[in-house]
Amino acid sequence: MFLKLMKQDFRATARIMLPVYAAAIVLAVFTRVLDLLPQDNSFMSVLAALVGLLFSLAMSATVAMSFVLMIWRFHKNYMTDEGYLMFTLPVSTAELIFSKLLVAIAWFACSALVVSAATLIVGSGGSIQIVGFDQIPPEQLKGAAAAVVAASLVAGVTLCLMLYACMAIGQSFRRRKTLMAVVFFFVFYIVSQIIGVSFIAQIIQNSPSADAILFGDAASMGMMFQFIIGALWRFTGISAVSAVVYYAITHWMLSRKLNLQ
Amino acid sequence: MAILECRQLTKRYSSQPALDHIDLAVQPGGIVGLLGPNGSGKTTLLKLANGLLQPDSGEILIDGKKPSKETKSIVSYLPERTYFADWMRADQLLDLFQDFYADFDRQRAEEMLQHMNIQPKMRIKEMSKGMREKVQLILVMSRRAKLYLLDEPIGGVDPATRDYILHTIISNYDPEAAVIISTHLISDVENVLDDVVFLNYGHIALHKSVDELRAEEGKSVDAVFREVFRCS
Repeated sequence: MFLKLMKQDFRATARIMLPVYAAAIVLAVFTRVLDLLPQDNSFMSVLAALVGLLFSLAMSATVAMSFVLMIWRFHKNYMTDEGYLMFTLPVSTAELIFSKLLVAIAWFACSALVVSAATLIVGSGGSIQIVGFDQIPPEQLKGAAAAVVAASLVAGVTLCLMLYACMAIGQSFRRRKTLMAVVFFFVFYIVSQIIGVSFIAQIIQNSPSADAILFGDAASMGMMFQFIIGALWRFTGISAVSAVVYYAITHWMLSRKLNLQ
Repeated sequence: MAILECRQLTKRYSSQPALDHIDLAVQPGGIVGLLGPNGSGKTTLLKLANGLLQPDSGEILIDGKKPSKETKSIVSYLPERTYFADWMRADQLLDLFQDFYADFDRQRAEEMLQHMNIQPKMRIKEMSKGMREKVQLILVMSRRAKLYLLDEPIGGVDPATRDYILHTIISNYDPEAAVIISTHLISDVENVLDDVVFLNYGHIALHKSVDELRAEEGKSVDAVFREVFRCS
């Protein structure tokens, strides 16, 4: 049943996301082609600028759309009349939440891939060199990559679950459901910021390498990398704990306090 | 065993009781009219049976179990509003019901769509309100469920459509199943009902078989309803 829920959700979202991705890739190709052609008259210059602008908009739309769609699908499918169908299907509340979550994360990942691919197309032929990377041992680079991927994934999951929790609380009110969801978003946001700042302060206070980096006398890039990797893993841990709390709130609200109008 | 049972079931909205300690048992194999004026608790009762609301006290049981994933697979529910995503086509809705309900009879649904001249490739947003209601009823009645809960299935539709809906209900439900029809349009449904339950301000005012009621009162169900719920 869980896979069937995901199938329905992919069907509903692919009709929006796939055209956006196609537009982003096509515009990236056009931008690159125009870049290769000689800009010897004003028409070509204007055309290149216009396509470049459209490409930038398509890049923003690719990122923004997956985010907007994540909120819109949860709200429309569960909080409006469509909820009368979804909550009477023979599936559990956990399946309802996880199907939406996994589909949203899948679109986040696809959007990241499309943006990367489009950037590579536009930037093909050029080269970027980051000074100091050669000082870092390959094992540390691998460790950094794993920490960045894990932190991004967990941050994405936490963001989705935080917004789901806000919408699930908002729907339980008799009136001003959307306003209450926004109010709870700010409440959760402020609380998470307070926890985040306290966490960063604690790391800086307890880490000798942080001192060195902050005061500009870090021994090497390797030392800085080690510090960042450690901080990212700790951030991922805290983020995962928040995700569990947001999930528990969403589950409880949808199973015990559902209030479809 | 009763297919639907309420034991001291209570549900309040703020401090106002929508259902107040009601006891009710519905046996399989009949059509029950859940009758009452607006705000009497009919929709609340059906929502509780579907797990869309949680009781404040007491319990509601479907085939002996509390509303859950398991009971949802044997209950076919028609809410008072249409619940389709408007971008979907009729055939995609059939796919959805076929995916989730093992008791869904696709062939029966396709035949009913054809009979209603509804093209399978037609999108919900291209359909009129009446057509959407018919598609929803077709989907709900194409299941071989043990319990059908129909909330105001004939409210807001023209008399010809009412006839079609009632015909669809009585010609499609399994004789071993129970059908509960919630409505305040008594005269339209009373000929198809086996039993009636009158709900008044969250209390059961009457629960009898239609034949018994007519024999005792010498009146139609509609006439008895008007007497019970007369506005002073």
